[in-house]
Amino acid sequence: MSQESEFANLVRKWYDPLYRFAYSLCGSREDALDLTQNAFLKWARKGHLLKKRHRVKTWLFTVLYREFLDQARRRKKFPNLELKEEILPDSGTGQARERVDSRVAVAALARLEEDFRAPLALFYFEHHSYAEIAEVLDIPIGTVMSRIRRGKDRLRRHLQGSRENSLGEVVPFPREQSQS
Amino acid sequence: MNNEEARQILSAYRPGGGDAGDPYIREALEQARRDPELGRWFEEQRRFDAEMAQALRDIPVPAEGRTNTLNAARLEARGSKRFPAWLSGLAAALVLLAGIGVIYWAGLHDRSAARVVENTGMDGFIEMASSAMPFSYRADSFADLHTWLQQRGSPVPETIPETLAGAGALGCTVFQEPDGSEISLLCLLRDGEAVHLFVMRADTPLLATFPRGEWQAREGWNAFAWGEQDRRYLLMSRAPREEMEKWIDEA
Repeated sequence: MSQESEFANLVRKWYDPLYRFAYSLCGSREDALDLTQNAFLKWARKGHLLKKRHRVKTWLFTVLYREFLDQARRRKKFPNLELKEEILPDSGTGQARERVDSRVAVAALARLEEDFRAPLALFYFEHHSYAEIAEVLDIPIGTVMSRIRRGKDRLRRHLQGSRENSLGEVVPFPREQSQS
Repeated sequence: MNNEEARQILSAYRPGGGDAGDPYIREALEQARRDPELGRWFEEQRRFDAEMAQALRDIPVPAEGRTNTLNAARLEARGSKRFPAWLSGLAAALVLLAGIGVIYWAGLHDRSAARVVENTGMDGFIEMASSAMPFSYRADSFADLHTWLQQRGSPVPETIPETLAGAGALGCTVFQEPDGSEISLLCLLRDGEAVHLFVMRADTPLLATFPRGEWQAREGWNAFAWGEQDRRYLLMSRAPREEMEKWIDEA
């Protein structure tokens, strides 16, 4: 397999998971695109130095996470960032106000301190075991477990709060029903 | 293992069940089966986790992301194979970018903000071409780039050859000269080759040593400037000059 097609396969396999991880960290489409592209370009430049080729997944996520931390430091927005309302399109169906959709989930994650956000995002994307999460984030396994648990508790509180706040909102009438 | 420890471990049990073979998790799962209270807690946890996991899996991924990444890697590989000197230029530009990054990130906080360019003449254009990425704005068509630049109030091309307007696009970046005036850089893709189109005002100091209607070549780059009224264009590429001449025949 040529180097180019190997790279294309890598992009095909890992682009979506990496982008979603980046997006859940930074909450911005453009920044997530940059973070994801930079991780792959770094692989294109330095991937050949990785001796254990089967660890490419962990390598890519680690590179992306470190780049995110650097970027966050540069912006001085660390540790919290605000989610812009226009970032994810509203589902607009008005259905299942009790159900968590991606917009609500990312907004709730964005309200967490970065210490909790990254392990939780990696946990929920399910591509990494807790041991691998520890490796990506460069923290002990016990800390990963503790942060996942405490992070979930905070996440629930944020989600509960946003549900209570949305009780008085007008729910848009589902378009499909109105057309029929 | 007490229930508190079991809760901690089960918290790290992935919703899809991918960790069932892990010895710690297996032991904690066994304890949840034996202890009804822990079992109820675990069930509720699993429901919440499944919901969150599904929600995050639903994050939409922009369709152009993969294509742009593959194109960017191809361009980079081509540059490094054919023009090794260019890489050192890029490295220098990156160092420069890191320096001005403080201003860029801390002062402006806006992805669409212009980046400062300090060199003049051909050096200035090479500096800009080498530091075009990450783009201020990405799009795969010339029309989209034009719209974005126009909305931003940056220089936009008014009359350019069809061969360029119809080319594929990667993105654009806006630069700023020391006097505050802006230069738009549109990165196009023609026959697999990156083509940089600079758009600027006619009296920009950057063009002082680059007269209209002349070709210049340096470090593997070929460049040609032309213009109309108060607008100037500069086309720059690593493609052969004969090829580029065809592109701008209509200009």
